[in-house]
Amino acid sequence: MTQTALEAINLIRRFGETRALDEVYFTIPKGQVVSLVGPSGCGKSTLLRTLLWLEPPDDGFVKVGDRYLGKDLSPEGLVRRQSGREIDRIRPRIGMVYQSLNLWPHLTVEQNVTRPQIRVARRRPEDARDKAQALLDRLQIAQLSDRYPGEISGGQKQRVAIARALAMDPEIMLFDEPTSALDPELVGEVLSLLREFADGGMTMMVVTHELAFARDVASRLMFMDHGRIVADGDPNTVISSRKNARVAEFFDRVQAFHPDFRNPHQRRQR
Amino acid sequence: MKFDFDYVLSSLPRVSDAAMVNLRIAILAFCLALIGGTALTLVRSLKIAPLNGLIAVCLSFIRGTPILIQIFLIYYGLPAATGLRLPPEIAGITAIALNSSFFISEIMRGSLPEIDGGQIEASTALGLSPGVIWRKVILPQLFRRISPMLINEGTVIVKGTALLSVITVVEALRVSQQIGAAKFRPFEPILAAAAMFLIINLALTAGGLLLERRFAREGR
Repeated sequence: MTQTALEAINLIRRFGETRALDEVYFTIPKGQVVSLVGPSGCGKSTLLRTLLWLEPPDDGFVKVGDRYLGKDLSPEGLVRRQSGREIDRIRPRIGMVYQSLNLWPHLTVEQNVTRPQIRVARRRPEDARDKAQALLDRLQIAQLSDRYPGEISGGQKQRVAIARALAMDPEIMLFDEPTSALDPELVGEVLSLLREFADGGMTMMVVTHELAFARDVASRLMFMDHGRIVADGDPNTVISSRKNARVAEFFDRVQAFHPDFRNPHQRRQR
Repeated sequence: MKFDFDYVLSSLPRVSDAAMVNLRIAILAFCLALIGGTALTLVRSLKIAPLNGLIAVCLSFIRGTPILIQIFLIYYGLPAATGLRLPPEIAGITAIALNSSFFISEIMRGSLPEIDGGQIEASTALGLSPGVIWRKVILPQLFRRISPMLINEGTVIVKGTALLSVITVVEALRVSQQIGAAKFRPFEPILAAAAMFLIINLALTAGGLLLERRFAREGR
């Protein structure tokens, strides 16, 4: 039986009249790589913030691994709000990597990775340091441990942000448009890093405009529009399907820029 | 009347001894003001309307009236109002620290928006509690940013200690006036006192520059 990494149950979020999230349901099993695609303003950012309970939904539940986040639902159907402390303990089980990375500029690379481990996961400083070194080593930035974020490049900063999230042993990693804040020449590097993670069996949800990634690396594509997940499934099926007019229109428009994007067979033969 | 440089030098030993009192008062008041200013900033960040209203009223009073009057109020007014009579030095430290707390809190408030909100969100997402975020993320960065303004506030405090001569604190200015009164020549001892304040503030500014240089390495 496959275990669940992240589950969204009937997430609803209203801003006045508009529904930023409209009955969002999904289950991501361990090891799956999901891409979340959609036009801007479709609710992707709200969804990420809601999944982390940074912006509690008006209704619905989030489940990380086997634990609810924000609100508990007992088997008898009782709903209980969690305390701030409880939420803080569960939150890092979702490893979030922000578009703007948000490293702590006053701490060194190593401290950026060890600080949450010591403060939140209550690990001993030496254990935290070992873990940080192992991760920085794996991400090939071990030589930068003593530098400050202001002294390293954008691509290196992103690796630090990834290491910081991974150090908390998350059930799933969320990436918010990991390539859009980077120089074009770094995009390929990040995509191959994500591909490496995917091959290593990491559970990931990637909000992306990089449709080649969505098609070739992710095993599942969720398409969001107007706060709803309007298409969900195998990337090639979703991309070539004409069932949903909104989805078809979106990919038609994308196709104009990437002529053979819709033609997966050509790519498959590589 | 001729300027007598030897007279300046001869009054220096007593004035410099008294300047140690200024230094002591300034250090204590500055430390208290840092604590008070941080506490005020934290309280204001809670956005409790009546409390922030009260702080705003106090702030406009402290900012809008001379610090000399505030010193008088604490030294003479407090005993009259509550029966609590503070020794001159304690009253002076209290007045200066209180005054400076509000100015430091304003400095902090001014620089707080410069700290990226995304960092706070990322810290929350990593499970850091609001208290830890303040202690380990916001305040360390805030103090680095405002260090030049804090040094400036420090020099204001050092100079402010001279005002305590009016509430009988035996500090550099008062001692220099005493020497001047005894010798019927007030000018030279006052220059000696001025030199003492200048030395303290130059040392403070130099320390500030060293700190800034250290912070600059960490960069952004």
